[in-house]
Amino acid sequence: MDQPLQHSSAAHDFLRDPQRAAWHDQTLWMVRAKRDRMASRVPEWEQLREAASQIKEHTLSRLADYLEQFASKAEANGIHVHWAADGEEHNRIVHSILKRHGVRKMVKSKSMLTEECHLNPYLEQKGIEVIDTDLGERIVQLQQKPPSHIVMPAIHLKRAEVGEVFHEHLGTPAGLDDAQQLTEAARQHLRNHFLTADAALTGVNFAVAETGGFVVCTNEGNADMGAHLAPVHIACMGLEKIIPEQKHLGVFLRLLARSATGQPSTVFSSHFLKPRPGQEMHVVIVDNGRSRQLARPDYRKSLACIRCAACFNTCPVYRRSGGYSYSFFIAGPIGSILAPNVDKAAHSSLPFASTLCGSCTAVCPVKIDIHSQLLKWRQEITAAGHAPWWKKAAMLATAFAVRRPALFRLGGWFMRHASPVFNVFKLDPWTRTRDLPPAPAQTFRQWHNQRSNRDS
Amino acid sequence: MSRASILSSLRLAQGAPLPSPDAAVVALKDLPNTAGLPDFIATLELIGARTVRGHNLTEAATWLRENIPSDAEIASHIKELPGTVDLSKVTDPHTLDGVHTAVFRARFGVCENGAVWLDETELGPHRVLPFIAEHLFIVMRAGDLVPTLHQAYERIATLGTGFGLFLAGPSKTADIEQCLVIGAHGARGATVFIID
Repeated sequence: MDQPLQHSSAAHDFLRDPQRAAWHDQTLWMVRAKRDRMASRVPEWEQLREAASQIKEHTLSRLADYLEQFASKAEANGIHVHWAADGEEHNRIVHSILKRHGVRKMVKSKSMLTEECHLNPYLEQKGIEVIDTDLGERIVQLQQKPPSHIVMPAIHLKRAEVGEVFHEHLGTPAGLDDAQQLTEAARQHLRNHFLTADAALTGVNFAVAETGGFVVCTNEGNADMGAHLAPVHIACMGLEKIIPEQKHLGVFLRLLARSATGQPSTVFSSHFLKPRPGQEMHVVIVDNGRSRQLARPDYRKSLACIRCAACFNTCPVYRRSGGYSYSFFIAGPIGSILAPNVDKAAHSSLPFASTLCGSCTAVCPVKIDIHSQLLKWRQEITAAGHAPWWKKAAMLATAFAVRRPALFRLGGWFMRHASPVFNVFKLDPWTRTRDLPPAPAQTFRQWHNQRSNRDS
Repeated sequence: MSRASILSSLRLAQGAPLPSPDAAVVALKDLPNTAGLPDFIATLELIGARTVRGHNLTEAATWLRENIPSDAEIASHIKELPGTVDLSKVTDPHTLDGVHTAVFRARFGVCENGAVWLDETELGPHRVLPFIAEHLFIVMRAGDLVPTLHQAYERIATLGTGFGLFLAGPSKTADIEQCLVIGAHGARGATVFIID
């Protein structure tokens, strides 16, 4: 069996090009700074976060009821509602709809759920062409790569690299690296696909139980271009996308774009309630492990996520390691707490890809306690025996030493004198890029004894 | 169909119902907010839209005549500003590809984010129009403004038609190296004509 991707070694590879790593770090930090500017313009920002958190917690505690309400309203509105227990069933449902309509080409706007279910390869195997229409997603699709960021899928690529991809696949002139011209080329290319697609698939940002409608947010307009032209519209949603009432959209739409990209609003916030005349509209509601996560009190709040990726942009580890160093299709801090629910062993390194600084928790618009959950997963993963051998060995050695005062003291003496050796021979990962400082002249034990003697 | 099994595992997992979040949502809506037309216009400029002020639709017609090429295809949902495309005859939305400017009203605007609200009352059955056209010309009254999205949803109340849209400026993307490009798949420009 293949070794699962280890975050630290993949991050090490990413850092082999320090200039690119620094550029990646700065680009994401710029997005974080834009988010800060937008958030600070809303005096009631913290009140908004609290309301969003309360709505989500309430919804999670009545999820089944709200989903049933949504489904019956949506059906009354003429939308076909499907339920999928896992990714495989989701893919089968989507394919059966497409097959019934003889679809040969489908345009798809951003949907992390379909990444999760591996829908594209499934449909391609069945002979259906899938065109990702978000610009960033189209770029990485042409490269046959997954998105490296859930909001900005091609954030790891430079203009010139996009130019190379478009030169190869869209026939733009070699060496073109102007963002405006590259975007124009993609617009023409995708416009042609929009006009000739037999079906459109979109994600769902929010599904409203009260109305049976759903909202899709984009800046490019690609979800709508697909959905309003094609005779069939399929919207796929994780079951946690539900919110109780339409007025709650006011809270979430105020938070989403500001948190995600530092815009006051996405350009298009489209409210789908009924199919247009002559069109068929489907919603696929997917569980795929979400009910399992809901049953874990320590982690259920992770289901409140609205996929804004603010935690990515602020994370010192994500910014310096890139999306491809994560073994899960959702990278960053939120991916690192969602992944172990799916497969603890395969994603055992992710909760350790964090400094636990808590910045993710501080920016999260729905107040998910991301860094606390990271710590809990660490404990659970270690208890389940998925920690690497050297970490287990280090823990055992430490436990052995601290129970033996003489050995512990000897260890202390050794470390106080050995730091130059560590620095010269780079014996510890920490000393690969920096030196351990010299130990102070006085030991903690000496200092403590001195103080206790004086005080008593 | 996995409906029953999904719902039953959710019922087992969801635990005791938590209190309604209503008080927090109502408190947000009731916060004092004096944002008005100057804020709306400033936000529109921030998001790359153009604003034009006028007194009536005659002035809007003049603006269109002076700013849109005379041979451009115009699809209009405002009868006082007739276009060149007869929308009543359009049954296949694909034929709207090539429209230079789409003209329609917006029900109201939102000061905090520059979004305007419209549904099929304003759009007719042509949902794709604000996306497929190269440019948008949106007419709204200066008095039709709300400060935030909370008041916006209060005003929408019940969605009367099958589709509704908050539209905030021209389509855009920053997917290539975070360089902002106006005109992704949707309109390359949006003009909001505000009638005082």
